[in-house]
Amino acid sequence: MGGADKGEFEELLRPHLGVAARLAFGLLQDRVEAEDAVQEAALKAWRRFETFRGGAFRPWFLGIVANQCRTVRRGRWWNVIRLAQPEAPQLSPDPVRGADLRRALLELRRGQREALLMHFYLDLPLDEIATALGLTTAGVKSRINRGLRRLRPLLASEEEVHEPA
Amino acid sequence: MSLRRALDGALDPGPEFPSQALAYRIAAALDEPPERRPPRTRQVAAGLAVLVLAGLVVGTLLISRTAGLHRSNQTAVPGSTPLPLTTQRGAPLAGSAAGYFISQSVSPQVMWVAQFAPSGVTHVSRSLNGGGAWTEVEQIHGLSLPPHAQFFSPDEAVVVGPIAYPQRFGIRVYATSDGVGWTENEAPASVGFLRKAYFFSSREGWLLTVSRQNAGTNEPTTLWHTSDAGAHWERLTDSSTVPRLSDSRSQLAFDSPSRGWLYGLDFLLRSTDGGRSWQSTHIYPSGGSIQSIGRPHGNLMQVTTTSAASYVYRTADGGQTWSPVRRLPHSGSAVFLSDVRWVIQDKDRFDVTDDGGLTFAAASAAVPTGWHVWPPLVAAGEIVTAAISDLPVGQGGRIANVFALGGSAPADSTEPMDMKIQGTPPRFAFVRSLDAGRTWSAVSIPDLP
Repeated sequence: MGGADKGEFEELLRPHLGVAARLAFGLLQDRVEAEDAVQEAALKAWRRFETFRGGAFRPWFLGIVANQCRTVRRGRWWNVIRLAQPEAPQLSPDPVRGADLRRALLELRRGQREALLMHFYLDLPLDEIATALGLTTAGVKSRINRGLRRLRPLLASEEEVHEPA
Repeated sequence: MSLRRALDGALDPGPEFPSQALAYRIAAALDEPPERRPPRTRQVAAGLAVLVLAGLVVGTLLISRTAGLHRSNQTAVPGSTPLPLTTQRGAPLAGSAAGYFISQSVSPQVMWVAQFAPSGVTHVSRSLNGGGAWTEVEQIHGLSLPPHAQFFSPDEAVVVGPIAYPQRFGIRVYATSDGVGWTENEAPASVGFLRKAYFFSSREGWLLTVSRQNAGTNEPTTLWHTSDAGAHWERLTDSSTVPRLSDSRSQLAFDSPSRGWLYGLDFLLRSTDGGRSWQSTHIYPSGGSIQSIGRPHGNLMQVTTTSAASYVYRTADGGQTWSPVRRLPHSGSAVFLSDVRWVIQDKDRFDVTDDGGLTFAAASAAVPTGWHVWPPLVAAGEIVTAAISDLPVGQGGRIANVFALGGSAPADSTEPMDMKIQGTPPRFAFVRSLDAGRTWSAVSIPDLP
């Protein structure tokens, strides 16, 4: 990899593996696929590391993770071989409610889902989400708000959803 | 409840997420070559390396390693017990033959087959035109189960087996280095009873032996070495020093005269001194308990977990430590033709990857109705071979251990084996790919005389 330092890359990567895996899990809703996606994203990030111009590593890497998850999701319907997962993870203490929310998330537009999960599930600030997704902060807000409007019927009965400022 | 809490509840990945293995996997993946599709020169070099390795691979298509990779399918079926059928036997297939075989392609044109007939005669045949015509090059009398055969080149082969009734004691090695003349060497009684054999060439090989016939697991086991086709045997070590040697499910293999592997359900030992000493290797976790470990090929090996997930592991230090680098789409038998080119068998289909498991393409072999592909796959360069059989599928799954079929001979029988199922013996044939698993065709083998 030319002059890139793998040790430096791994040092930068390590603290963000947890949030990256969580993002991938939120987008894919599958533990194994999520870890595979993070691994693949790490490999792609390493290959592109020489083009990383400094700045914040986390949003740069999360952008690659989100992109990899898109690839995985796209591949789900055309892949000729997919195994049923041997063990279904217990995703929610309230399976009905959790299942509804998970399904609703999957029905969101991709950009809405990514922005919404990054903000409400990973607690990332808007400017970092904007960097990760290659958007302006206004664009991120717009996607989050549109996503919230679609989720509101599911959540409105019990809760108040606070839209980002 | 806020959306944050709702998401935390709905998207709880469970404990230990991400798994500890993820960091190891990434570190190992970063060691991979930067380009997944190697340049042609590298592919050729890798192919040659695999060709050399494949020459060392046990030629058997029916070895009991299958039981390790597919333990859940392992069904011990005495030959006298009718199988619970869920499917009818396959229609007769031209080019198939009954009995127990070990076969290997050493080039697109040169194939060997050793056929162990119920009469007790082992027929060793060779084809020089890709299976179009076969010539019997040797008849061996008096070998019993479990036989062992390896083929290294158009002229070099070795057949090893326990001596059959009435002697029922001892081990014989038959070897040729020119395809014409065969040597016959009988191991002294002190060597014991054959459990496993592995040869690196027609002259250099290893035996795992036990002190009594039909010994179960944990029986004291000894490892022997020969460098003269079995004329002399040197005792290397035993299970009092290396307890894993006595595991009857252990498999033995050598990449070179010095580097060897002893592998089993959940362990992998490595020797770097020709088998005199063995060291444990470190296998990082992959998200589940390990159920079986396949033989390392180059820097890769297949590991299957108890949850039927299958992973490709990679080593960057010659085999001392192994890390998972890729989860395979299913737990079928995998063979690694190079770092990035793998073939996995799934029922009667083969999945092929050219990019280290990023994408797979499916290839179907022309397996007739009622016939089934038997793992494991065997590779030599870009040649991949698989056995097919008309063995019926039982309710407990496909029979995966052909040795179980050899156990029906009565104690006083002069017949070394009786492999009949519902009155007729199973038949075997082969399918082979010359282009790394993309296209497959049937290969005829000679029927027993």
